Amino acid sequence: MKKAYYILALIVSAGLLSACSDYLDQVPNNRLSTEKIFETKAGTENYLASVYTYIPDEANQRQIGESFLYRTAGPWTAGCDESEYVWGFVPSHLMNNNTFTANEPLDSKLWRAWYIGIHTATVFMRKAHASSDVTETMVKQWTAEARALRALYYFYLFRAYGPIPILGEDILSLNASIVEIQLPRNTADECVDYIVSELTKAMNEGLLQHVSMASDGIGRIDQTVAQAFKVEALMLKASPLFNGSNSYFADLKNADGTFLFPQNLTDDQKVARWKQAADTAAKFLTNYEGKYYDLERVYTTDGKLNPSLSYRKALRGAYTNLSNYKELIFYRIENSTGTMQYDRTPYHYGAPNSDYKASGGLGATQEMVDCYFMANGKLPILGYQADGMTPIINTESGYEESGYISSAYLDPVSGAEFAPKRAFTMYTKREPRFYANITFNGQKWLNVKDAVISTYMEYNGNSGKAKGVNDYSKTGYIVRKCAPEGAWSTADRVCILMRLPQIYLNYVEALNESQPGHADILKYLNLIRERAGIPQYGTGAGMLPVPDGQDAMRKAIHAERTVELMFENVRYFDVRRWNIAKETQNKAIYGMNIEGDGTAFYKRTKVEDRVFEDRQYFFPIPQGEIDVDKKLVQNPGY
Amino acid sequence: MKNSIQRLNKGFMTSLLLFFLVPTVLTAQSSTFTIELNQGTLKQLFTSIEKQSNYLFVYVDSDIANVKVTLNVSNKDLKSTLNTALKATNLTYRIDGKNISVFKNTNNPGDVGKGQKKRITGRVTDGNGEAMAGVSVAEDNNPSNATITDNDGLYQISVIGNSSVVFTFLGYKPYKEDIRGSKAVHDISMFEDVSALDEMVVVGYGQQRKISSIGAQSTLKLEDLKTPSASLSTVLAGRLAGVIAVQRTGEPGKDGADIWIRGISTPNASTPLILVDGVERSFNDIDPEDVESLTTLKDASATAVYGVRGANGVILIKTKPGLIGRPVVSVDYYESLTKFTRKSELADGIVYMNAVNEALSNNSQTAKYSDDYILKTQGKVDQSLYPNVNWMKELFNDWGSNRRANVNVRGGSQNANYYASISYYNETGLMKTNNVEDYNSKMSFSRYNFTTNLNLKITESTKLDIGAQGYLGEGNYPAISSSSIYSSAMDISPVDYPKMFYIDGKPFVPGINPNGGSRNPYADATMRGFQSETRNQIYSNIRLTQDLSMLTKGLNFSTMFAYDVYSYESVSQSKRESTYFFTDKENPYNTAGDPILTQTYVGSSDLSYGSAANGNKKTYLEASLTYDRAFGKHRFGGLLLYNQQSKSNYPAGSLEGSLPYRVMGVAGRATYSWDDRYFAEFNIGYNGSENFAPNRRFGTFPAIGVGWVASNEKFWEPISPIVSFLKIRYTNGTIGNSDVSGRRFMYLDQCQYSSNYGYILGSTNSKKNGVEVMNDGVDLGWETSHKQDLGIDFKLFDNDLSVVIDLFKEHRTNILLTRSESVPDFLGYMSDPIGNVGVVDNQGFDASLEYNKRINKNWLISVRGNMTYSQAKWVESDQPEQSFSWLNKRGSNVTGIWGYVADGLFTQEEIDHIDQYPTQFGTLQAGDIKYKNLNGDNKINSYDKQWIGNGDVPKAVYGFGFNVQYKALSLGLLFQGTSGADRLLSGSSINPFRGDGGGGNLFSNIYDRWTVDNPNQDAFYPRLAYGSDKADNVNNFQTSTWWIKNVDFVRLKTMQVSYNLPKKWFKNMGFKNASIYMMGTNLFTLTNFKLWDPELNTGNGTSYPNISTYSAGVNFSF
Repeated sequence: MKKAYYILALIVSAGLLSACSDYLDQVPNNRLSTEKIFETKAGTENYLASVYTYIPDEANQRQIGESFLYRTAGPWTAGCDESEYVWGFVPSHLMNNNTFTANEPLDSKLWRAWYIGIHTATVFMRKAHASSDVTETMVKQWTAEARALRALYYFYLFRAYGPIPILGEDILSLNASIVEIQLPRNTADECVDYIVSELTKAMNEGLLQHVSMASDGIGRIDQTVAQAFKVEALMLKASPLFNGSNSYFADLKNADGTFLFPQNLTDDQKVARWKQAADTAAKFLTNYEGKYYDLERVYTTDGKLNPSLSYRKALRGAYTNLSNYKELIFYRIENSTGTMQYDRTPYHYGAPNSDYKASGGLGATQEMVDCYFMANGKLPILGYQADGMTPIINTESGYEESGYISSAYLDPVSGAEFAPKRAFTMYTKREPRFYANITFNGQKWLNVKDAVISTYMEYNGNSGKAKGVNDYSKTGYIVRKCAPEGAWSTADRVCILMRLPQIYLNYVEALNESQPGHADILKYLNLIRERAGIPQYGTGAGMLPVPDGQDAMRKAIHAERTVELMFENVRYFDVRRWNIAKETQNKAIYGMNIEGDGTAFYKRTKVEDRVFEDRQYFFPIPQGEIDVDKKLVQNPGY
Repeated sequence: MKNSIQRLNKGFMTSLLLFFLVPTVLTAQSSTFTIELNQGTLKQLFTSIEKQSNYLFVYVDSDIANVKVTLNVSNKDLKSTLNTALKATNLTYRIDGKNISVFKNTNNPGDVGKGQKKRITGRVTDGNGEAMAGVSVAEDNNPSNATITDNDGLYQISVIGNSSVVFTFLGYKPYKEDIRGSKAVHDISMFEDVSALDEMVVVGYGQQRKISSIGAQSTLKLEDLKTPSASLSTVLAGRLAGVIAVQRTGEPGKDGADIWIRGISTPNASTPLILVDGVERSFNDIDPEDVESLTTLKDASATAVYGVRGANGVILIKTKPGLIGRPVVSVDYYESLTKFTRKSELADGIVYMNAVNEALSNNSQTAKYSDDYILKTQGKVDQSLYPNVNWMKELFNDWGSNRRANVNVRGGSQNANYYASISYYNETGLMKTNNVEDYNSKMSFSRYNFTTNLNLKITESTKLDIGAQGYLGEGNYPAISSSSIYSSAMDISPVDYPKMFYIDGKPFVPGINPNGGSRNPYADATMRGFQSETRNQIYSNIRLTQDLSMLTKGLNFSTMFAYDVYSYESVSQSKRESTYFFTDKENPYNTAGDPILTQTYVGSSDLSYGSAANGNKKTYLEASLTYDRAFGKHRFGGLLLYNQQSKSNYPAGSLEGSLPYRVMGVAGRATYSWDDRYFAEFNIGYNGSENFAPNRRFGTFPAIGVGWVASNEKFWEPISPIVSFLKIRYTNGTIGNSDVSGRRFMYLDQCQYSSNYGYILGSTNSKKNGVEVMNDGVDLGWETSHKQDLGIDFKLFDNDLSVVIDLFKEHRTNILLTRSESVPDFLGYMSDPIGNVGVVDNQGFDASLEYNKRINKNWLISVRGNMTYSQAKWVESDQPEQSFSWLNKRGSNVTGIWGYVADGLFTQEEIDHIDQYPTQFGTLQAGDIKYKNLNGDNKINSYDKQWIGNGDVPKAVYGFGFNVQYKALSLGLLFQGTSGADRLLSGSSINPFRGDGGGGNLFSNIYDRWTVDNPNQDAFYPRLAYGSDKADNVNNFQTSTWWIKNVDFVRLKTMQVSYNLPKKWFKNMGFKNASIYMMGTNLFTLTNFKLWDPELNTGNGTSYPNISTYSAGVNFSF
């Protein structure tokens, strides 16, 4: 009996010991790991996709700062005087009422997302290697793409936050001591120079020259994209905000005394910067214009340029047929088109079906409406009176702000209806881009499949405040650019991130600053105006006088840029880099009187007061970063 | 005999407090027996008789079974058979109904004839009149002359006259009966010695003599505890020192309480380890009737043997084992009405509209509601056109109900005993249904429980315990969750639309938002379908215990295997009705008087189906050796134990998640005591964790404890009449933790292909998945908690008053924290790594007091109270050094709230000189909150935030109450309270007009606001403004002390009145006893927080409230 118990005890203890040794070792060896990913072509490409993923999806600018890391869109359109969101949760309000702080989720999410993109790119560049199904050429091309993307992410960071720390080829370990991660900010010039040199390196070391359907590379960074971003970066470097002309940031320096912005540049030095930008843009045009890119031009059956359709086509970007578009330089194929179109398709109470019915929650401001030229090429509004609201009307332009038209206003080229009968006079005789970009009260909706309906933003209108409750335009205008002709939920277009006219406008701006009077200024400005369907400066039918002198030309260039690229996430940065945000953004925005019906509606009305202080030129560095990295100085004002 | 019984009976009648059992059959059975036995054992005889009849033999002394007898009877009746058999032994017997008790005859023949010898008999019962079996009855000065009571509590003993007899029973106060005089029948009532309730106490993996226990532990006997709730955890609040329990909702089937032991000292899982019959299990769904005891282990010494699983304290639940004796069937049934403790009161439509207009006018905007409109609403002119809906009233009934029935049977013989029970619980919620839908969306929860415990003695030294229990829980709910329905009610105003439109009796759901926003709460509750949930749980365990005294005395081996399975399934049938609104409010009705409606939201009246399922299974294996032996005054004890547990969950979300969750450990304990005066204990846990790299996988966690029972010292004797007992205890030890939520195998990288991180590249419109690095592997070690406990136990006044006080201190280091703050984002890692970076100090005390006094036979009073206080604070967190001291997390507690300090409201005069104040948020007006500028710069920003609140877990909880028994009537009250909990209010309704476009409802306390006419600095609400995007409606809703409200409360947790029915009422029905009771829970609450029940976990009241119950029940056994 005793023996039996000894044996029992032995068995039990043996069982325990053997159990100990492997009971906790249960994770299988061949699970997915970073090393395994790079052993195959598929895995390597997957990793590359996660380097690409942080390219911003600007089609959704309202759910920004939320959970998804790759959603790197910003509050650019409604966060400047272009437009206004009706919904309170949209972070653009933080920009407009100056309550954006260093602890705002949007601030840290964007910062974090792009730095993750940078880290992921560096890991990719280190780890991608040739294998059984990956050739050296592929590795070279993909590595160059990762390098270019990394430069892009630095560019996005720099543009929003100002000078930022550059990590270079380093990967800082998670086990790094707190001392090792005390990085200072690089200077503005170092940032731009790094971005430009990295893009150059990527171009030289493997980027495809130009992707196409044929090269199976649609959506990739190629040399043209890299060159375009070099221009963008150099434009920043030359612009007043970054060239030391903004006194608010003049004293910003690192703990060791390094000033982050250039100090006391001479005029020549400033001009040299503009020239570098102009030269880089010129190089883009020399190498790629005509060969790969041109302005979209659609012609009528009798061979006339149809500016209205041309402009709409340029903004269409149906991704099933990308090779059909010549003007798109940079875009994101997968994007939140549905969200964007929901914001821009009006509420349309009582419309026949849900294809027509969305929110119209993104209202365009009266200020932007006033920016569009008349069909004769002249500006309708020259400015505002002291009350900030009453327009100073350019009497030569033929602009009128009262009464209704008794018959529809038609496109002079095609005869298509621009403004319907009974439209308010102020919406008539405008340039084609106005009709493409703005939905005004009484305008017919784009979708005519099941019914032709008109959009009314009056108080009791089908898209007004009374019917829409939470979904209406606060300004009495709705952004129409990129709105769909079909159902608002049809998501079949790319998110346009850069079009050729942006290079043109960069080029002419840089030329005007560095070599005023250069012939290319008029050439490219007029190319845009010609395509827009308005008289050109100094040439063609109904021509306008050439702006006289550098300042007048600058005004003309800015005016053209505002209109051509409106709602394309450019103006937010333009008013900043031009150092004019304190004038343009620190005041109320206006619209029509959405509390009124009928004639009462057509009254310029304040939508909201907006505040812009100097600090808002840049986002704050996220507070958490400053807390850990004592060498990281905060932007002033936060 | 008959005579004596009658006299007994009469005696007891005078004491209404007590009951006793009437032996139902005293006459002999008519059946006869034929038995031949030659030097056979009595066991053989008994078996033979049991086979031939319905009789059952019961005996207490195990050696009786082996007594040898010889007999040869044929067709003899029972009495003569037994008389023959026992003639030659010193045994005697008694027949009670079907039970035959056999016991040693102390009145042995040799004593007969001695004149002084006196034979006395009687019955021993407990305070409830229940017969007490096994009570030792001994002659006072001659302990060797002793007997024990039989199953009916009857005894007989022959003693020398002029003496007394002492009755003793474990856990009861000894009773000395004077037997001088001629009285031969002495009926005795014994009462529980509550303060010495457990001579043995439950400790980790076993029991210990109470006197020798050093660890901090408290025990709750659940005997008379009833709780009109599905969740057992709801009874804990206020009843056990050291336990912090908060009930977050009263929703049927979901009302389990959050429980912590001695507060929260880690941001990781802080809930205690709960073991039911030795296995990690949930205890919410166990029927309280099936629970024998509930013990909490609180300090390192007590929990060390559980190793890392016990870092947050341990709760041990023991279900009822079998009991030797005739089967006793007990039945308990109650029926309750339930109502909300407090229902959020929303503002009336008129109040609402005036507030809106005021908010708009504060920003010079035109009124939204015209005077005419308000007047028409007030006049109830047309409640469709001018609605004024009290959504709370439309959503909830005033009363719900619950009921519970439990039937259990308990009994057994020497070699096998059992406990078996079934119970049924049912509760209906207060959410309304309508009569339009033909499905059932009534909120209700039903549960069917069973429990069986079987204890077998296989051989003299081998025991086998088998337990199986489980339940089937079925809940039925509206398809929309109650919190979501609540949120709808908070998001919609009373005047936006009516509850329902009707055309020809057909309902049309009113709604104004085409995208489904601004939902109709009433339709949410009644017309969106239903969800039914089923939960199944089976717990099974088998334990083998082998006495190894053949190897060495005092040694035992025990092994247990448990297997549990759980499954959950929910099926929902849901829909979203289309919504409608007037096409034109100017022209609302057609000629027939029906409203002319336009569809606003396109829904569907077709139910769509959805389902979800999950579950888990678990195996647990344990093997242990225990040793306990005394050598003179020295006493040694030991435990060596191995255990392992493996739990799998389904569905698993990932490869890592699909692997079973495993823990394993070895535990040891050594105890030593000398003369019951000095005690020492050493406990150790050795644990492995799957989360650490193999070389850092195992951790050792020792604890020591010492104790001194001063009252057992010689020098104490003079004091002992007052202080009858005093023990001082001290323990010191460490425990580890390796778990953080949502991350396993922390030493390994974890990545996956994910389309979230993907991108479209190439000519085809196909997306390439990206690589998501969910976690980067990091080399980590154990989170370690160093705990100390100094305890003092003392009893005063003959043990009537007993007090236990424990001071505790915990220092937790290497806390596993997600390093979201100390790793800068510019390093570019996708996930925040985990690091051993936190340090938390926690200290406090818990104490309990009990006073039990039997004033006389009729009156029994007991008073009890307990309190727990704990204060935890960060010593080191993941937070880097801050630029200003007040930004530091250090010093705040784990659940703290961070925000601005409100410094009153701006006056108009201050606004006129606003330049002299730091800039705040948006545009400021008089009546807006002024924040304290902590760093003295010119603006209020994140540098001016500090730790402003303790959070919603109270620092202190306490309970106190009393029980009074007068004869058969008893009254019990328990109050429970918390202190040091606060809550940040935010969200729809509580933040007026902060929804999109100004949406949101209002609470009825909206009158308590700052206005131009009444610029009250102490108002609940600052100046009103309208719209979430308005610059003038930003400032007031920053997180600040303004919105932090204290949620302390004291409530009458339970009140119970019970009455034991006089025996004569059911004398002839075969019942042993019966009682009726009335009970109420959460009868009233005292609190400064009036908006909703202060325990709810919500910042704007959107949680199903706690409930009060009013119950009546009966309880009887036979």
